[in-house]
Amino acid sequence: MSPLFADANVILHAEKLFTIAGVSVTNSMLLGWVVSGLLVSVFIFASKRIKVDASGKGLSLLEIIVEFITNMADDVMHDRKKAVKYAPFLITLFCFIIFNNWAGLLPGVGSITYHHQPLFRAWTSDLTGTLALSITSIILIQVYTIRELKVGGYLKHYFSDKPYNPINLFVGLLEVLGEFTRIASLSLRLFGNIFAGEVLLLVLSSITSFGSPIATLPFIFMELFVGFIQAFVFTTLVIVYLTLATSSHDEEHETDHSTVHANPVGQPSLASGSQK
Amino acid sequence: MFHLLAVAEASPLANASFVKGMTIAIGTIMPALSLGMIGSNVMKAVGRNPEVAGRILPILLISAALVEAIAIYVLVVVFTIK
Repeated sequence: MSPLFADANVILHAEKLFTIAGVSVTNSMLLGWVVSGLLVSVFIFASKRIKVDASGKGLSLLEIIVEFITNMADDVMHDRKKAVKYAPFLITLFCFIIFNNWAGLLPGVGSITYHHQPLFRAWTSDLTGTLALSITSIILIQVYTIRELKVGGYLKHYFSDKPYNPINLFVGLLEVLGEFTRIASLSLRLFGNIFAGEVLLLVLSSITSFGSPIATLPFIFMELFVGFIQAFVFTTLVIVYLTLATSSHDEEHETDHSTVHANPVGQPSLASGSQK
Repeated sequence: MFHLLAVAEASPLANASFVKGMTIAIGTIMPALSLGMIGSNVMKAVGRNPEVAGRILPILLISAALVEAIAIYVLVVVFTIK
């Protein structure tokens, strides 16, 4: 819960703390670095002591996350090999988003100040962060597509076999535009949900002054749930975009990718039926 | 066109809090309706076929999050109105 209200105005942008060599460091960047440093050290520590039979409780928790994401990718892609191939990217994405969402709910985030600015702020409650994340994901998807289908297949994916047909050309241009729409929708969805959650908690705690510990408790649990759901949705949509991009049109008829193509909005699990 | 703008500026309705209220009020109509449709259709599906409840849940959550995102866009716009 950060004091996002200053003079009854909600501050949409993250506050600048200090500058390092001309680059300004904001409070959301600081918490993002802390969270990513912790995640990297935990995962390096865990990878050093991997065993066939899971022994520690922490290790099996990490195994659950890895299995969950890999199964999710497998359900959409219908291809275990491909799911395992792209799992590192997807697991990184999921863990980074979910722990940044939850880090914003920790006590001390927002209440500890530095030069009258909150020292920490959830990394996902700043639009620049989520925008960078979605641009990175979309660019990585393009790179993976070029690696999988080569440049010819990549262009064919947009402009089909006959690019000189004006209709195909126009549809291809619309598809290219669609990539930018995906960037905007991915980043705005994540940012809006987390930011709105923080504002909701703040408003609630300000209207119920002394009762705020009791009044905000159910909403904090709701925010934990929202943080999970948003990480889940972001990862699922990236999986869907990846599947749509990397499935070439030739193999589409053999496998069940046609159902994925029919629902580009993100309901491919309708066809596959994910296990939960 | 221009005299309409002038009227809008002179009108007492053109203050920020009124615009904020109307934005959130109108903007959340359709997301609310769509969430209701998702919920009712899930209930119908589960009522007809109770064993698919577990498989429907992730789909329900994804579609609810996608619909909710529209309401969130409205909320972001409301925050930016000065």
